[in-house]
Amino acid sequence: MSAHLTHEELTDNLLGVSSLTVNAHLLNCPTCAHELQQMKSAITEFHGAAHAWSEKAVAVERAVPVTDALAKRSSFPGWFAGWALAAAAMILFAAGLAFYVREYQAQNSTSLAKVASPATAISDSQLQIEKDNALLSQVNSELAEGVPAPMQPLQLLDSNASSTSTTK
Amino acid sequence: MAQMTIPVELIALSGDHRISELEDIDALMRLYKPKVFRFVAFSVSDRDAADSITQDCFLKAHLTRNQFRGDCSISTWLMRIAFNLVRDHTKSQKFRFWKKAAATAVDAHEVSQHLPSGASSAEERLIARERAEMVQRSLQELSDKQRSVFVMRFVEEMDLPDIAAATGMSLPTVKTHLYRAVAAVRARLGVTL
Repeated sequence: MSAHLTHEELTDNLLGVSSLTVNAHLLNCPTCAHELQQMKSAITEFHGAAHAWSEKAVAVERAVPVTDALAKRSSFPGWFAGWALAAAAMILFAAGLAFYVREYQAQNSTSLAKVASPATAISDSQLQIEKDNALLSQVNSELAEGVPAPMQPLQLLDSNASSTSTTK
Repeated sequence: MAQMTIPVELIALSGDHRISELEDIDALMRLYKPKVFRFVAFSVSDRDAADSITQDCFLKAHLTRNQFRGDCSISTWLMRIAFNLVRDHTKSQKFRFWKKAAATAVDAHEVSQHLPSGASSAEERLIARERAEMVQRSLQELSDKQRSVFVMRFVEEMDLPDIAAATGMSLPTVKTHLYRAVAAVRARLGVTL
């Protein structure tokens, strides 16, 4: 009997490529036959477990209609939907922030006005009234004079200045 | 293999029939979803990603159904789309430094628990589960191509020419990947001559 089967010969047998010499060797070599059997068993067991597992996993997913799932996926690519959501969130945030700032400023100015009015507003209005009254009385006195101010004869403003100039 | 699946190719025989079959997306998914999902799940080892990629696969197949020439089976065509999507997913993950912990990883122990109880005794069932678990764990040590080829051959029972068509590799390249994948599984199982 020749040496044991090579890895390629064993794999070929696993792949279903039959060879007379390999088959004859397997009949006479319990070591190779045992190894091949172990490999076949392991792969068969994995095959069975994989099929049973996947059938169960897919059966759970079948609760969702296929067309719905595909329509959902085909509507937008995932990254695009993500970016669109992020952009919408940013716009909403910016708009909210602007609105809040405007409202805050408006509230601030009205409250400042309210705070300032009790003390100063009253005094300001009284001062204004006094100014107005003074202006009105000045106008009245000017109107009461017979000759308007521009038409009155010229007068020396400073009598001392004129006297000093004459003495020189 | 002890457990044989129904060869779906037998359902669709003629080219015209196959093209019209692509129109009914619901029927297409009912028929092929377990196969595509299984391949993707064991290729990316992440159940959530597998769900997403499987949906993408059928969406892409539906959108490009007019490009299907009928020169291969629908199953192979779908597997080709799935293989390309898995490759793209793997590429995008390679450069992701913040890879999250595999919270939705395909758990080898969970999968092995679904092993049909064909073994006679409890001890034999336990050994069988352990062996199935070890095979699945050994898949993580394979390269992406080796893993894909191994799953296509030994889980999906695809022929080598179909695997070559689905992956776009030559037949000798497929065989080389299979040899290496089987060697890694053998090493993991501790089976050496």
